[in-house]
Amino acid sequence: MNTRKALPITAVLLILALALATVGVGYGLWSKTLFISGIVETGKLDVTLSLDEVDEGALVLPANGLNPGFWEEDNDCDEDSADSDDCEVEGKEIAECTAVLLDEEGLVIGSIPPGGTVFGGQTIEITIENGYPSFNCWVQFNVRNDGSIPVRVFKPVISNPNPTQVTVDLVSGFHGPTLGDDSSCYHDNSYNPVGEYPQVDEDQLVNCVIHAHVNQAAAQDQTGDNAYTFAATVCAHQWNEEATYGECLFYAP
Amino acid sequence: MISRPHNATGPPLALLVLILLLALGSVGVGYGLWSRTLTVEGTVRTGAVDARWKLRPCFEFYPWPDGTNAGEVEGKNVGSTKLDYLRDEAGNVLDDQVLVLTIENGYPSYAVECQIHFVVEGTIPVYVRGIRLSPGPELTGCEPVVFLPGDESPYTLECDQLSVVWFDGLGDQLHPGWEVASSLAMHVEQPAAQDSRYRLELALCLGQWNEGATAEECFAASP
Repeated sequence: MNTRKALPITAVLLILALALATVGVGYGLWSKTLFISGIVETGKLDVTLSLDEVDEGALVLPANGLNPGFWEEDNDCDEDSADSDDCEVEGKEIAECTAVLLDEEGLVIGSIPPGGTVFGGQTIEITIENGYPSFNCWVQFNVRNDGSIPVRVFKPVISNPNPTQVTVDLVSGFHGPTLGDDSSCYHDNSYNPVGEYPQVDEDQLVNCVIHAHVNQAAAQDQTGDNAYTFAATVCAHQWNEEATYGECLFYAP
Repeated sequence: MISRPHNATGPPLALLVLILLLALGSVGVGYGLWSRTLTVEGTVRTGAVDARWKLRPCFEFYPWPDGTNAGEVEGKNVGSTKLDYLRDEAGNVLDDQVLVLTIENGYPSYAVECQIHFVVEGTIPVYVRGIRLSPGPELTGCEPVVFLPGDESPYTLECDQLSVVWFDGLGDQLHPGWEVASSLAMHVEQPAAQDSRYRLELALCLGQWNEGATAEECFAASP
């Protein structure tokens, strides 16, 4: 038996009235919506390393401006001042210092072309073979801003577990240490010093030289796993953020 | 002569006579009436609720959010902001009711404020019934939000990668022909990823002044 009670007639009428009123509001409302479509495209921070020269020599010459230096026009021991120079003692070619540029996967990008520069690396791999005490190698490299955001570049931080056997330091400018003890590293394209923490705009670069010297304490026949190794790390961050070197390393991919 | 029997059951004779007289009378009235018809022809031309954006400039500033300095840090020109109508590839305006605000080459701490104007082009006074800020799918940590008239300005949408602030200057009832102004500020936050694209939408709904519509009803009824 159906026990449901029918709604009172007043309730039915009230519901009907409300429904009609609702339809009336919806139906009679005129409205217009204006839209703002917001799009934010962020820039890209990217720096790369490039290689200019690898020079070999025997001595760090005094800053008198007369002696042959280590690179560029002062370094004419092989009458090839613009390129990498081998200026070992007595003109011999005993040790061999090489530097290659590697990409993000560790693959070699290429060697330095005559009179040119090889660009686009993430790592520079420096190798000294058949080194001997007093041998010097200078590797001139650049840090280039390939992104779209200005960056600030920290001075390269050297990690050298064998400082007694091999000295690794930074020198600067195409005259290098012959013009003084400027070890601030970075210079612009015209070799003007730009400080240890320069700002580099898009498509610009700063130059630095890393110097390795085989010391008297170096043991002979250190090859393979016994070879002396060192590293230098360059970290860059966007120019408008304050960051310590540690923070820079922490946030780098 | 036909005599009515005393036991007859039909209508009385007097009633038949009355009906006959009425029928004849009706015919007589219709025949003798002089008449004239006056016509009222009604035309109702309805008004329109309409509005369109006006292009106004944007200004970069720092630091966020107070912005006491114009431009970018150290006077550089790194990021840029463009405010324009929705256009096709040939540059033709497709819709002046859709404003496209584009920040290019943005970076954390980049901040910009754009003046947002629109003109009430309809013929009906309107009220702003609601402003809806909707983050795009790339933005995290935030949900769509609707601000209603009377809410305390500024209205903010804070996502992990982007903060958006609407400084409301619209007031109450807006009349045809009025140009009204607000502003929209945006700030790229620290978690924003480089080389990325973030989207959001701001929708502003106008309803005619004499309807008590909610924001939802306004958006739903809008073409």
